[in-house]
Amino acid sequence: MPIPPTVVSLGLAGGQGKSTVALMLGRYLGRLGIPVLFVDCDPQSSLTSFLGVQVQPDTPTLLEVLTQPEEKTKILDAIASVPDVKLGDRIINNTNLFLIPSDDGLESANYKLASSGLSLFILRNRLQPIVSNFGVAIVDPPPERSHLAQTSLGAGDRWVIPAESNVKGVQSLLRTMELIKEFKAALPYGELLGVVPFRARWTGLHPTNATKTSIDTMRQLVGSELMLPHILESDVFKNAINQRVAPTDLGQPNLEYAMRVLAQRLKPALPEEYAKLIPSELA
Amino acid sequence: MNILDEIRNRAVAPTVAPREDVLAPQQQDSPKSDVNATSTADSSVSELAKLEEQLARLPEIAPRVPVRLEAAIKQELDDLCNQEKITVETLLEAFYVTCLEKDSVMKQVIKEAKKRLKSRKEAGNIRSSITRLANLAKKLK
Repeated sequence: MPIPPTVVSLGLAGGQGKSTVALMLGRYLGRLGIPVLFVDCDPQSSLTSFLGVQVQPDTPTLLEVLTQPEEKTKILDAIASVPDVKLGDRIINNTNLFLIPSDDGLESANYKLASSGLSLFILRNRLQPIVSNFGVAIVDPPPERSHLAQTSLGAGDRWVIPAESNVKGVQSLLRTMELIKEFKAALPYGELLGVVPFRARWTGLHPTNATKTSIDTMRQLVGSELMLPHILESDVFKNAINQRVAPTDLGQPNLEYAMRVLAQRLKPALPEEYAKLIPSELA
Repeated sequence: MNILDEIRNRAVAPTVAPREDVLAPQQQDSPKSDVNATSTADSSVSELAKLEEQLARLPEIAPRVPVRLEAAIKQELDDLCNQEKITVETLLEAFYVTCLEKDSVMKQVIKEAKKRLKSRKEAGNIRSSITRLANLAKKLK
């Protein structure tokens, strides 16, 4: 039986959609019945906040997981269950979602990782004993080229690169591809699932010029086979994040099309019992 | 009950030692200031000045230096620091000031350090010879 894969949403710039893609993919898979372990590897803690997990100064977080041995902080103790959410008179069930949260303090993990000399593999090694309890792990790294980003990269079996549909997004994609290239030899198990253009702007049936040009450039950089469907610039995503639900819960399943395609690409890497929960045909 | 159910049904949340903000100045042994609804910008300024003054009284920290240690010793130091909740930096400072007070210990430490330096130089020379020989072998191919 294959070991559940760890997906890392990579991007070396802020605002590229890393946390959004990690969150929406996890919510989609969780809704299908797949247990998802989120790992918030960004000291900004967007994912922790988006999932509604409360972190107190004495709550075990990823900082302790990365900087202390298992004897001192059991990784299991650092895993929080994501609370269910009330949406109007409905309850949105988050039974399958789990999180290793973070807070500002995670920043100091960079020092420890830097001094270890093995930062590329530390998160992977820490997750390894527990990941088989889940269907998939999803890591949300920080936007800067730090040791936390490096350990996130090394934890990944499958990488996805969200990139904003503008010049900054193209630059972020370039820098992220460089990072992968630099470490690929040390990470033979890692595979790029694809690039998700983020915040694409459409007017009627056509993309705006800036969106079209940047998506075309991304395609030239990575090849057509690695280009995934774009995520539209839409307030529905912002509302979904604010209300801690998915666009589908707000009656907009079409906005999750990119997640459905991403899940199809991920399907062969999932353990069979979970792979079969992903619909075989895209609606 | 599987692990996921255990996490879902935890009666008591696990805890760790409270984290501190690495950027916030430490205010040890100082009573908590009484901040009330009527506090003004002036009181924030005086609080800031007080903190700056407090920080100025503490030793200045030099820029970071890259330090490479013998692997086994590094591991033992890390374990000791984790156990005692100190850092390698403060441990090194403490070693130095403690030795400074005891001349015989300091002499012994310096003797050991010189022995180690000799061994590192020897290792460096061997590495350099290996590289040179490997490069020579490549050229001869």
